[in-house]
Amino acid sequence: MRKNVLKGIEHKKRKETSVFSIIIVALLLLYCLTLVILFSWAIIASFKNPLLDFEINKVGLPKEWIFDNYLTAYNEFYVEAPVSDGTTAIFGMPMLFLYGFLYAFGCAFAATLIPCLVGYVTAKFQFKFSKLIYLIVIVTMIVPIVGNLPAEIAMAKSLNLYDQIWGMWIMKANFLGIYFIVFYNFFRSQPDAYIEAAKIDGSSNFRTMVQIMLPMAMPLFFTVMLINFISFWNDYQVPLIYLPGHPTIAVAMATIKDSAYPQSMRNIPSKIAAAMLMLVPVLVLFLAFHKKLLGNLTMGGIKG
Amino acid sequence: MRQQKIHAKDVIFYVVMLAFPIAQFCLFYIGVNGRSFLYAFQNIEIVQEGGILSRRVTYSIQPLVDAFEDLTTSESLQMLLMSIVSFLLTYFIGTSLALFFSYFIYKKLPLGSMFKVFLFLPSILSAIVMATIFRFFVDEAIPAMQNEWFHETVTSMLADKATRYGVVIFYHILISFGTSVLMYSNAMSGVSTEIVEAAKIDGCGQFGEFFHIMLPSIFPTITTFAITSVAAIFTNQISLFAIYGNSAPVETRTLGYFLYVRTLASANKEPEYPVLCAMGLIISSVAIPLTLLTKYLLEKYGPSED
Repeated sequence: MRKNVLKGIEHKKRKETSVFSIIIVALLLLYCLTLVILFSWAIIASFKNPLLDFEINKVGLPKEWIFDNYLTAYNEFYVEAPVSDGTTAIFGMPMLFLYGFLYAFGCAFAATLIPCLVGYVTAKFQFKFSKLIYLIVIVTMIVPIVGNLPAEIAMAKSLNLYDQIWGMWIMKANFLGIYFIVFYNFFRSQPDAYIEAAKIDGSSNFRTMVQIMLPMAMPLFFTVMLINFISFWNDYQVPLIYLPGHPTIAVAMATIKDSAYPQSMRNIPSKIAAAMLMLVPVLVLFLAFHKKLLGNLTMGGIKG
Repeated sequence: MRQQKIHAKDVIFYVVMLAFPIAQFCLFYIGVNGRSFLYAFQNIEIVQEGGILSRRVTYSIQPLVDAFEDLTTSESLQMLLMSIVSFLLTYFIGTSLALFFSYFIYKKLPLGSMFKVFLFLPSILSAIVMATIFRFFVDEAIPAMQNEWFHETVTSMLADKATRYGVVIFYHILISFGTSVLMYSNAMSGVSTEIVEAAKIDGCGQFGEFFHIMLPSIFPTITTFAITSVAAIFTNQISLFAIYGNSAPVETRTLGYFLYVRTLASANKEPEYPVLCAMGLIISSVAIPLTLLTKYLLEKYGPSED
């Protein structure tokens, strides 16, 4: 009798376990399938002749696989933007990529370097001000301030940072946010013995930081910089406001997706081809460094 | 370096290293928010005096009054409602799914690595590219499929009033898993294996392990995400700008979308800044206590690891 009861419990447990797992797997498969269908359709559409094929065959395989849409996207994808003399200029894809790269690389470097340096200094120099900086970061992460964008635009204009790519680097060079906590915890976990040994050998604070401590943080620095780069490369809302005369590729994509201009980019396959070209740098980075990107950036609760 | 004595060269190094970050913080956090506060009480007029354009500033509570009127129109109240409904839908559906998915990845079950890559992919792909592809698919491919397979002529689900909000929410949840799944699954990996083993010996199945061990153990991480989500109620655009640009259907608009589009249109019109900043001040005065209250309640009444 007891055996039967135990068997029943065991059976029920196994059944419960399998049902729970099956539901999650089913949901995950559905999720993956949605993305696969979405991107497969887009890739296939980008190889169709816009008029002779796509307009009459929106779902099936192309009658003839053509690369013209990619050539059109590369050669004729452009936006008009205001330049310093008050007129407008045309920015083609190479320029859009260049501005996108300068914006993303510079902002990513600034937004990684500053939290790293401030994280190091506050973790290793336990002055009262270090505790204040830590508290400031926590408070600014919790307290939501809404609607300060106009004041930020005004500040950027008054400091001559508005519509300057280097201006954006300065604006993004802040230590607020989760990456300060990540670097702070990293440096806190490193033994002080390294610094003390370097000091005995006559090393200055700066040399100790540059030659001993920062190299230890390089893998973490690289991961954070990579995440930041991807995020800034994809960002279109901030440059849309702050860089009207320096359109990035993401801004151009946002402008052209709903626009009837340029005329050669009016059709959907060409617009999708342009979108695919924009994905290339990020996909290359992801394929090369996906293990780093999916690594161990953990975040606990916010205390304070 | 936990120091007994403070050396002058340490102080000099400390000050030099922090000089730029602190100056940047003073300008772009304290300065910007201070200026935003001041704007909320300013009336700015651009006047022509002797053929020269000049800026005339006077102080009053008029921007706050105007902002309050703007925020209490039926259209704004509808946007507030949509902000709250969108938060509830995306947070509860998105977080529940993210936790289930994270548990699956944490358990290292078959195909876990593949699922992890797929879940993370929308986070690294450009939002504008994702939205463009999604929109063209919904606008072009789905009606074509329905026509071809079911001989039905239908309008796009992003254009149909009955379906467009649901489709926007579906898309927003679809692209939202990357960071949360990564953080939750990493947090689950940090749970002591001894606790998990002990629960297994006591007859706890996967379902029980998830609800009674994992959820309480990673509650600080869940709390962090909950606090940031509540803080974002009034700024969340639910991908409306990425999908529709600045012409999203009125009944789907959130306050975050409204504020962004209006700021974008006013970027070069300083006289419009005071009302926008006053709106921000009013919304912040609701958002800040709400966020702190959420933090307090979650910490006081949330499950504990014990």
